[in-house]
Amino acid sequence: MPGPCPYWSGPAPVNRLSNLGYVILRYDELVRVRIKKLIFVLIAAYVLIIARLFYIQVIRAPFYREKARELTVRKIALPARRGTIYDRDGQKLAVTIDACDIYVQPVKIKDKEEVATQLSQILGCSRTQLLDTLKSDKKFTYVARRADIWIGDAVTRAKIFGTGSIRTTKRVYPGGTLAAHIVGFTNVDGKGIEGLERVYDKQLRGTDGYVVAEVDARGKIIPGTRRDRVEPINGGDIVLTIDSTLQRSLEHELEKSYKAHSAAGATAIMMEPKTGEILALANMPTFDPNNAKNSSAASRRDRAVTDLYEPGSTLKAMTVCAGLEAKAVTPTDIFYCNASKGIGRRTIRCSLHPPFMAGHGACNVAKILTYSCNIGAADIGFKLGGERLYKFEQAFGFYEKPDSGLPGEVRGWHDNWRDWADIRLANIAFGQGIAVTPMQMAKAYSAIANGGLIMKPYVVKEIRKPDGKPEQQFMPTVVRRVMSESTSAMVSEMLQGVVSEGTGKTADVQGYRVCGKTGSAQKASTTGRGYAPGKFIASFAGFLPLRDPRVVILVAVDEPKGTHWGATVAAPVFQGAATRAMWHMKVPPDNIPEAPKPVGGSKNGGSDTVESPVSRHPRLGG
Amino acid sequence: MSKKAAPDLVLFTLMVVLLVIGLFLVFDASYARAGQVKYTHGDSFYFMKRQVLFAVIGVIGMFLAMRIRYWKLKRLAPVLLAGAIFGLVLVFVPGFGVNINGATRWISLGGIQLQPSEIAKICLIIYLASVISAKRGEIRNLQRGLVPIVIPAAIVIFLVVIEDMGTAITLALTTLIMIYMAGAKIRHLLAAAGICLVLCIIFVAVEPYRIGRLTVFLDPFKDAQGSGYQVCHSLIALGSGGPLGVGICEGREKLFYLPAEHTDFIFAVLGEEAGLIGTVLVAALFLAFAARGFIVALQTKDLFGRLMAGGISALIGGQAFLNMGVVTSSLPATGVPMPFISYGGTSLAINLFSVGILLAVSKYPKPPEDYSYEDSIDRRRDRRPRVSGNMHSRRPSSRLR
Ligand SMILES: [Zn+2]
Repeated sequence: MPGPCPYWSGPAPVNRLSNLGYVILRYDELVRVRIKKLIFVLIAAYVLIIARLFYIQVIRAPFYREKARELTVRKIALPARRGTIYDRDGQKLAVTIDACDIYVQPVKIKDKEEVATQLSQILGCSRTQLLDTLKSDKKFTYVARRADIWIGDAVTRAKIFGTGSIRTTKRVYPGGTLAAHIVGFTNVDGKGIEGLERVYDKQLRGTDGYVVAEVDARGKIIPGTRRDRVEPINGGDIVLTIDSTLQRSLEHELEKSYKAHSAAGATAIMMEPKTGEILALANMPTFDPNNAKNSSAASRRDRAVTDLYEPGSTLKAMTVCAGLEAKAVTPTDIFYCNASKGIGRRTIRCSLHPPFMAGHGACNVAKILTYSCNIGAADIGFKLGGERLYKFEQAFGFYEKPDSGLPGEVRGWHDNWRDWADIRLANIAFGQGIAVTPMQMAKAYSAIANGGLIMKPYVVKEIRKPDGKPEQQFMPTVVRRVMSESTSAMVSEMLQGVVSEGTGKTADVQGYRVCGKTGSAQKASTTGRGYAPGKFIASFAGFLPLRDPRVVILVAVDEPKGTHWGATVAAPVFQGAATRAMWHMKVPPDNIPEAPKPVGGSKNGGSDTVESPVSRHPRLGG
Repeated sequence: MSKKAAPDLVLFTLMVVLLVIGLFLVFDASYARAGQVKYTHGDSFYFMKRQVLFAVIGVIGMFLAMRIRYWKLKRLAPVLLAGAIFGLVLVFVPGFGVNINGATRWISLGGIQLQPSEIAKICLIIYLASVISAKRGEIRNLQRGLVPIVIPAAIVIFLVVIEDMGTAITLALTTLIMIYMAGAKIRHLLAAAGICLVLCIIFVAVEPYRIGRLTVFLDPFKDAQGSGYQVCHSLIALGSGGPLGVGICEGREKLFYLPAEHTDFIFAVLGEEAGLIGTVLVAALFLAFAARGFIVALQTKDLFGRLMAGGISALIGGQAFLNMGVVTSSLPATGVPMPFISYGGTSLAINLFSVGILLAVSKYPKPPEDYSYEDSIDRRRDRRPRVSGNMHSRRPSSRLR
């Protein structure tokens, strides 16, 4: 053993160290030895790290490569652009525009107060609400969807950490409430929810494309990593039969009446009888499809096809058609009305107005319509019998869906005529105890206006491919012949009498011979039996001009307050909308006061002013 | 008289290679983020430029440090330690402390942000080297040697641990290595390590959520979207790089997947782009650097210089090891930057300055006569051999003068 070292404390350091195996004499050498040991430790540590690297980068490399691929390779949808919905003249009723979604990543945002202040200034929304969103522990959430492009640009420019905007598209309805029930609306993701947006969702939507590429953690495609790309196929366009001008005027007129009479609801349909094209269709209350989620379900309902109502006296026209066509009655038959008539243990009554306070007296068929005589109509029904009346109503389409192409259609009550008691038959003859939809009623009236041919109503004229070429065109379709041309001409003239001298005077359109029928039906009570006292549906159905009808208009107002007469509630709507339609469609007047043509006048006099039934005058500029 | 040799060229070359790799990697890893983050004003070179600036400052510092007759630092050591403690305290003074990403680790002086904990590293090494070389073998005595040596180090570590766990661990490890190197008794070292462990347990017990953070490295994919997120992406980066890498600049993880891609996890970016070849190369460079540093420590005759060289080698080799350990999910995640490579101005400049001191030590393998204890020991041994005795009777200082 070397000599003792003076630098160690403790009694016998040398011995102790020698026990440990050191052969160190001096402190300095101890340090050197320890440094050498440290070098070995260092090498060992680095060998371990290199072994670990080898394990990760060679042995486990396939696993991590797969993880990386899952992470970065994405199939990114290239959304197709939804097609446009046009009216018949090319006005846009639904369009898709560029928009953006604004998102926040609350977990990434530190200074929530400051970000809330900045964002609320850009978005123009409540700061406290934003702050609540930011304080949540969500990873990702939208604070605004389908916002204007400039808002998205402003958010991008602000470069606030944890916020951003995503380009997308947005469905916009430039007309607002215009034709809302026909067009419908989409949800925020661009899926059709109601109306034609729903029915033609597949055609409008198109086919989304995609691109397979690697993305960074912010979802941006890394340049040069694109692997596969399928272009989107944009959605097709849809052209409607709706005429925006007529639609607007019909909505306007209907709303006036709806508001003036504080009604529960109202519906109006304007159809072209020769083709079945629906020119306008309005419901009240209505909604703005741009803001559909804040509207009530009642306002979104397309009452024209979904709501059944008892048509009341407007149905007498069908009864008369049936009676005349089946030769059960002739125009010269006389019926007697004493204001009331007992049928079994029940009594039916006529609504009496001056000068007929004691009943309508002796009436021919025309007069039954003109003064809306219930007892006369019931007598025609008895002459026809249940079977024939039922068959005619079936022919008029009351027991089938009108097949207009609008979603949610229902059909009338359908029961067996053999079960009809006499009182039921009498009621049905004047329009109670039978329920139809406004669309069915409009369709039935268009049969009278179209010489007995019932046409299939339709709202979609054409589906176009994204490049504008037609994909599918819809043509007028005859459903069936309900009655002969002569019967329809006869009934048309009788209906003209209703407007010129009967209950329908308020529907008269100056310069035209107007045909129509009023109706004021009691509403069935919601309890299931009998009728609800004081609740009526006031309606008017009619067409003009007499010789060559261009439009059929049906108006039904649900539960008007104050007055329930079709003449005062519904006929003015008809009058307003029909006046506008005649002017807009440039229909030559057929009833110039200086030279009135006799009723049922010469066919030449009518026909030389008549245009082709299908085509219409082109609109003059503007 | 001191003999002057050429500075160690191997060390210098290794450092230059690491620095060049580092500067390139900082750009490579950061350009995507730099182009997107608000405070860079969209300048993709933002981090690269700042790193180059600090590299220039650091290289100038290195050349200055090389010219220092390093033993003069010994007298400066208490001042440096006091300065380091002052800087660390300044972090907590409102108006000086700067909070970045939720941690107050920086102080702002005249527009420049400095990280006092990084400065504290070299100050602590110089201090420890100086005080140990003064006490010499007395370090083997607990009360007179070890405890007085370690207490100032403990204060520094305590001040650092509040805001910066990673640096505190680096400092604690360096301190332990230095007192081991200096000949401390193994049981004292074990006790010191035990105290560190107990403190760690207390640290975890205070906030139980830290247990999850500390153990997540065992199975990071268990919570890949939460606490394991960073390590998962680090592993994916390394693993998807494979043996050969996906190609320089072709990395995906740096595109906002991997957090801290240009600072603590820059090694993962290297691993993805250059593969095992790149990672092993860099690991080997660090190993060679640290080993060469230890060899410099062995070659020098002066205890102060030896301890300083050993401490600096341990600091750089240890930091790189800790960093790679975290990046490979072999150690619990603690924010330890990779020397010369990770983005961080203060760290880079101080590391380069430290290399300067290391090179200075290599320049003077034999310090001046009055400083050489080697001679004095021999003289003393010749004159007055001690059979047995109590060192306590002699103050180390009295021997050295
Ligand atoms: Zn009557």
